[in-house]
Order: sequence, then structure tokens, then C-alpha cells
Amino acid sequence: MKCDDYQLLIHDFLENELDKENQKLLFAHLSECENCAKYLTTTVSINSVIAEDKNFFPASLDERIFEEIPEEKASIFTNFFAVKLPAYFAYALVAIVLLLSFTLLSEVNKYKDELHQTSVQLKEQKRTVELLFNSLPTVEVHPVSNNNL
Amino acid sequence: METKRLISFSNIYSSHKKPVYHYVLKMVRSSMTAEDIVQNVFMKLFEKMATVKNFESIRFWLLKTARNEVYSHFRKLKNRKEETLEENEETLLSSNLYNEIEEKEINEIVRNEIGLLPVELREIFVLREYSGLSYDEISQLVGVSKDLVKSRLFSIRQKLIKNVSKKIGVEKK
Repeated sequence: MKCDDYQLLIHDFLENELDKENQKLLFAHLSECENCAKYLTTTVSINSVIAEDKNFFPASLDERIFEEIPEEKASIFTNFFAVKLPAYFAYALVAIVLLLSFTLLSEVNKYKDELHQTSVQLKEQKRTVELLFNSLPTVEVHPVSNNNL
Repeated sequence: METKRLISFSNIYSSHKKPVYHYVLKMVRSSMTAEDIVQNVFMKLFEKMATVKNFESIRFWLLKTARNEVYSHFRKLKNRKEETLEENEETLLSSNLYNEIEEKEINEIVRNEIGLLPVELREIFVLREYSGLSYDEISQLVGVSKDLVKSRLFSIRQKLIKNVSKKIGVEKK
């Protein structure tokens, strides 16, 4: 095996992917090869820098992102329209709405007819009352004085 | 419903914010741009929370979205060379002044060397080391075979270790 092969094993070892047999081979080689031993040391140093860097996150970005989240009311409104209903449910909902609309419309028309009839009846009654009133004989009123003075 | 969505978002955000942030930061090499991109990515996630079904692959989805944003950012710049020169100015400066500045620590050397890797190689390295993606996931995201990802990653590591060792050697002298 060449140094390149052992260096590949170094990475497998650091990622816990090296079996026992190859570990023995690797460490036997490392005890003899200064170049590969240095390679291992540098790799470990690089990994520790990466591990340190990976923990950093700007706190200001947390604030920025959570400030950017839309307010609850707006989101609920958006959610309502974002909800995906099954097709049959949507069709049933439309049918119910249409049925209710027709029922309401027929009720309104019925009420309108009744109102019209009542209005006609009232007009008839008014005319009858007027006719009756006009057909009454005229009454003459004579003033009677009981005053002897 | 809304509280549930917010809690769910908050959990995903705290679990994946660092891998996403470090991927973007290492790619664009500007903390301001990185923060803008990360914010966009998580806002997109929040908008799509109701439709997210597979929470197991959420990191992959986030990194894919981040990658689209990063490359969209690159496209906005006239070309990658120009971007590299402009955005890396700070890094290159510190790299050029390497022999003059005394506070050269190994951390800075490593960070600089990672930053100096070509974008396409740096991306593979960062996705593996900082974002913790598997070889399969990197292969899917970048669009190259798994074997190629493995071999590229090994050559990147070798190159990086060689350069860092050289710099540390200089440093010790």
C-alpha cells in the first residue's frame, strides 16, 4: 500500500468507518511514516477548527428571521386558503351552498308574493271603506238653542 | 394550527440553521450576503411548512434551496472570477499579508485555505464537513456520481492538508 492509500484510511478512521484489521495496518504504518503521521495530526487540527466553526451562528440572524415571520392573523388567513381539501369534499360544499342559495331565493320570492297580496288586500279594503263612507247620506245639522235669553 | 406550525418551524430552524449557514457562508464568503440568503431560505421553508411531508429529508431540501440561492447570487455577479476577486478580497488580503501579520493562528490558516479552494471543490468539502450530508446526498445535490464525490473529497482533503501543513511549517519557522 502507498501513502495515498493510508491517508484514505486516516479519513475512514476519523469517520469511524475503519475496521479493526485496517486500523492495525494503519497504525503500524503511522509508526514508521513521518509524512502520514503529520498528515493525521494536520487532519485532526483541521477537524477541530471545523468543529469549532460549526458551532458559530450569528444571534442577530435569529432575531431577523423570527421578526420576518408574518403575524398570526395574516398567517391564519393564508392558511385557510392554503388548506387542500379533497375534491369530493369541495364538490359537496359547493352543492350545499348552491342548495341553500336556491332555498333562500325561493323563500324570498314567496315572502315577496305574500307581501304583494297583503298590499293588494289592504288597498281593496281601503277602497271599500271609502265607498261605504261616500255612500252614507248627508246629515244636516241644525243648531238648537235652549237659551231663553 | 398557527402555534403548531411555529413550533415545528422553530424546531427545524434550530436543528438545521448552522449547517445551512456554514454552507452558504463558505460558498459566498461574505457574512452579510450569507445572512440574507439564509433568511430567504428559512422564509421559504416557513411558507411551505403546511405542504412539507417528509421532515426526514428537510436538511437536504434546505441545502438544495440554499444552493439555488447561492448560484442565483453568483449569476447576479457578472462572472465567477469577478465574484471571487471581489468577495474574497478580505481573505486574499490576509493570505497575502501572511508573512507580515504576526497573529497567524492555525484556525485562520485553515479557514483561509478552505476559502481558497475552487468553488465547485469547496462546495463538496463544505457539504460534507460543515453540513454533514452523506456521499449520496452530495451526489444528488451537486449532480455528480457518488464515486466522484468520494474521490474529489479525498483530493480536496489532501490538497488542504498539504497547504495547511506547509503554512504551519512556515509559521513554526
